[in-house]
Formats: sequence, structure tokens, C-alpha cells
Amino acid sequence: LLIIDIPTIGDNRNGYRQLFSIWRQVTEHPADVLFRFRRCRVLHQNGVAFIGGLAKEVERNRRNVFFDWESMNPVLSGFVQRNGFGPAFGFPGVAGTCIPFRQHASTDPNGVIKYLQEQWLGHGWVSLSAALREAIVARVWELYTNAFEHSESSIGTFSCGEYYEHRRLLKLTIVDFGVGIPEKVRAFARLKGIPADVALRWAFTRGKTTKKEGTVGGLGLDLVKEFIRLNRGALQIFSGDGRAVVTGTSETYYVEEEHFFGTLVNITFRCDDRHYFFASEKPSDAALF
Amino acid sequence: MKIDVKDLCGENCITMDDGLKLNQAINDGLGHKVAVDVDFEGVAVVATPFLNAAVGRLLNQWSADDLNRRLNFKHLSPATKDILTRVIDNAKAYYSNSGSAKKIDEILARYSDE
Repeated sequence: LLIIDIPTIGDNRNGYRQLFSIWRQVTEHPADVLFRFRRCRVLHQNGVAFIGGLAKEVERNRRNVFFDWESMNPVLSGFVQRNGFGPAFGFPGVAGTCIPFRQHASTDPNGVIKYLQEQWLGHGWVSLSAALREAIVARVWELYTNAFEHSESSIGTFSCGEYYEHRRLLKLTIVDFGVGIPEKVRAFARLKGIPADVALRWAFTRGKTTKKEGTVGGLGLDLVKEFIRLNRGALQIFSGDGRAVVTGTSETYYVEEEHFFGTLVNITFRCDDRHYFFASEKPSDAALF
Repeated sequence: MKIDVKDLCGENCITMDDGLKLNQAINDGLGHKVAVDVDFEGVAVVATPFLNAAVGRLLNQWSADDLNRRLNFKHLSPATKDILTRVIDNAKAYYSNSGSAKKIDEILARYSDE
């Protein structure tokens, strides 16, 4: 039995290093796993999505996963009971307003849309018209479809969100344990040595796609980037041995030493009641084709 | 000929599979030499995998002139029209660039330059 003591995991660089270190321990020791929380003061949406997804991945490999719910402090215990993480692993749930932990299969795209509409954007933390809400959902869906189409993972994606009230930020983490974007690009180009930052930069460029010959693609991530720029939010993607950081004003790509096999996307949406303008620049009477 | 997108694909038009259904329906209409009205009334969410398959592929199947003359889109939200114009521009660029083989060359060129 592999015992993992989960530390306090923040939504910051150190928090991600800790998550990937846990992934490495679990991957390198093919035993049943017990997660303990004696050293964990708090978890955020990134920790919940990642640890929940990792536990499901371990179960998929026919290993048992145990959670020591008794080792949680009362605040953390209440949090995981409300947000669906506990109930996903046999701990009783309680009602509460939160953006829950969810596993989404590629066969249920409407389930993802419902989650984004009702759970992520639907709690009244941000005031949006129906049209704008659907436009934002369509852009965030691009992150899911990217994970479903490119990860080649059989267990789908794992999500959890959180509203940071004092800063009026709405966050969402999406994790898959698939092949990762850099590996996908390397396989597509048939060149193993492409550095992760080069591969990620290419994948984030409009019109670039690893879809098979004859299939158009490569717009989804570009639309997400535009949304982040308009919102002055942030997008952080850890994928394989690469990391991409997109903010309202910059776009940076890195090679990461501490990493995991899969992709974690963390999107930060600023609830500042700004008006967005997702409208075509083409005059309405211009020929479309 | 009118195609009701919500009837055909539901109110969320987000997947490639649904896009291929619409592409087939549009091709059927255009094949009968009639004008085709694609009506998005009642559709909530539209994403690029759907539009790439439904509309982007048409650029490889019909001339731009044919499509401009005989294919009309109704009840597109401003946000969907924005995505649609990008999908069309991207498809034009893709099909005029001889597809992914050229894109692989671009990766290799960029990589070897660094």
C-alpha cells in the first residue's frame, strides 16, 4: 500500500509542483493507494480536479484507492462533501453552492455544456446575458474537445471550479491523463526531439492542427486565447513536459522539469461585468465564402 | 430548401459528428441545384469542431462562388457568425495550402531554425 500525505495545495507554481510529485509517486509505485490529509489545510479547484482524476486513473489500472476522510480538518471535510469530490469516492455528500468535481466522458458533450452553463457560470457570481454566456461556454468547450480529441484517454476529463470571492475570479481546472499536446505534436511531425515549448507554441497558433490529413481544425485554442485577452483573465496549461501561460497581454511557453503525462488546463475568468464583443469583423453584406 | 439545425443536431452544435450530419444535409441540397437556407433558430451553443465539419469541409466540395450564391445562413448570433467567418477563412487557407503535409514542413523548418 502506497500512503500519500497530501499537503496544502495552492493554486500557484508550488501547488502544481506538489501535484505532479504526487502523480510521479503514484505512477512509479504500482500499488494500492491511500490518500491522507493530515498535512492538508486547504485544497482548491486545481487540487481537487487533479487528485480526483488521478484516483480514477489509478482505479482504471485495477488498483484500489482509499481516502482517509477522518484525517481531514472540518473545513476541508465540509468542502469535499459539498463539491462532489467526497461523494465521487464514497464519502457522503452535503448540499451547498459550489462548482463541483465532475468526470466527463467524450460521449456526453451535452453534459459538459450543462456543467459550464449551470455550475460554472450559473450561480450568479457573474452577470451575463444568455447570448454572452453561450458564447463563453462555446469557447471553454474548445478546451474540453481538445482534451477529448487529442488526449486519447479512455476515462475522459476531470473538472472542478471555484469562485474566489474577494478577487471576483471564477476559476476552472480541466485535467486529462492522456498523451499531452507536445507528444501529440511530436508524433504528428514524426520528430521526437521537438522541445515542449516549441510544440506548444505551434499548437496554440491559429490553423495548426494534428488532425488527420483532409480535416480542417486549429481554431479552438486561438478562440480561447482571444477570450482570455478580452476578459483580461489567465490561462495556464501544463501538458506533458511543457507549460503555456496566456494572460491579457502576453503568451509564454516553457519546458518544465517537474511534469506529468497528461494535460491540466486552469482558466481564470474575471467577473468584472465588462462587456465583451464577440462579433464578426466582416461587414454583414460581404460574401461569406 | 431549408435545414433546421436545431431539429437536425439539437440545441448544442459542438461536435464533429453533428457537423458531418449538417454537412451531408447541405451537400444533399446543393446537389439538387437548389438554394439552401441553414437556419440556426433555437440553437444555443456553436463551436468550431461542428462548424469545421459542417461548413469548413464545403470549401473542399464546392466552389466559393457556388456557396456564396446558393448557401444562406439564418438566425446566426453575432458570436456564431464571428466563429463561422474564422472557420471559413481557416478552411480556405487549409485547402489552398495542400493540407497537413505542408504544416509538418513548417514545424520542421521552425524547429531547425532555432
